[in-house]
Amino acid sequence: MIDWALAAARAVHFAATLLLEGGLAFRVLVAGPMRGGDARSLLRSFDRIAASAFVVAILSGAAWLLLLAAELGGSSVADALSDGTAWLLLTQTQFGMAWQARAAAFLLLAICMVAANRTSHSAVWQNLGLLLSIALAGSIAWSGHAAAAPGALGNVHLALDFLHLTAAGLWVGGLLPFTILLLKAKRDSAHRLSRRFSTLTTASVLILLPTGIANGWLALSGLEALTDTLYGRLLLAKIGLFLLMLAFAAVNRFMLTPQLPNATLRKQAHTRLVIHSGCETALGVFILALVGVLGLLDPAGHDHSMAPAISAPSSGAAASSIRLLF
Amino acid sequence: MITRLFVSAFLLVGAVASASAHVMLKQASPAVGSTVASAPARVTLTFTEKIEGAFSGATVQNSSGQRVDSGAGSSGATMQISLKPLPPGTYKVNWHALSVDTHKTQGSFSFSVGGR
Repeated sequence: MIDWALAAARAVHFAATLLLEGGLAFRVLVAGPMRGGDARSLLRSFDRIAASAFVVAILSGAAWLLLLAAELGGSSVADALSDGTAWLLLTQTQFGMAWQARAAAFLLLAICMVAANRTSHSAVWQNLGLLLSIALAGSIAWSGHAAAAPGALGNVHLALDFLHLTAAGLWVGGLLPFTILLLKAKRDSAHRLSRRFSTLTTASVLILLPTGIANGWLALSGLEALTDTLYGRLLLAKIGLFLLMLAFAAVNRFMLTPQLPNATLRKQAHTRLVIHSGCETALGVFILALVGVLGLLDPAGHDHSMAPAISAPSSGAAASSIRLLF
Repeated sequence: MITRLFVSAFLLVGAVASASAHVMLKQASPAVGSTVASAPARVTLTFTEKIEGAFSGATVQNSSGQRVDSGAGSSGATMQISLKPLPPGTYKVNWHALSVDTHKTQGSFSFSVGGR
């Protein structure tokens, strides 16, 4: 039984937070050196993207908390608020504590984003905002499997998840402003900034690869689980899409971007870049969708199974039943 | 236009950020389906993951359906259910647990206290 409203809130919050992080990172790390009249309008559109992502992230985060409370209390959101379930979730669980910390971070980020626009020391506010958005993206890990794993290994898993999430946001979240840039900026601007974005995505890949491998190793019971379980097969598909994205990015970086300064090849290279980054984005979205389904599955393959509890060796077949509520 | 396309694409995305495991009962004492010689003071449940005490609990009933437990508490991945003195018979444990990653599971099992 899936609570679709809750699933939707989680999906939207996840996407908005990564878009926020990637958008701010693009603004600060890639588009920083942009100058001139048309740079200003582009930068303003990046700011607008970040602001919209911010609002959606906050609303969906609140919805996630409230819908989860309703689910846990087996009642409506209104009831969960009035009978104290929502408060219990917020104050007595690890999830709730994480959400409190994230709410504080969102508040601080709002201050940074406004101050970056209004004051003269905008660079400081922007950098601080970027750090906060990175923390907000990575801390999504506290709502996932790694947060529930006991012991020191659980902490390792959490750290890996944090890095994996933040790296993914830098890349996938940056693709939207990057594509807008390619479509609207002057050609030589686009060339310079393409190289900078490539550096950012290379760094992201260098983090995604080892953290992804380590996470997969921690989550799966063995290599055969890659083909034997639904989780493993979806993971293989995710890895395949990731490699495809990587191939597009490599072509962008090593083939197309160097062609941009060349007057004869420039127009074609530019068009191809736009198409490629569009493909990359589509792949990124597919990966997010895959992760979405992965997130509903138990990596140990226990979904919807009547797995008996382990019984004492001396007794006969275990006489227990387990039901998954959601 | 492009923005709207990207945003709708993002919104089409499935759900969650990372895998969420469903907590399972790893071990129970008294063990599942077992018979113990003397009445236990408590039932101890060990789960595969850390659970949230505020949203987890259990009841123990005798064969007439009356409750014979006096409260449950959790810490880490363990739940302890205190029991009233149990005469010989078969008892049913009904537990529900919320894993730290907010997935609920519930289950039940029986054990017997042997008479002498």
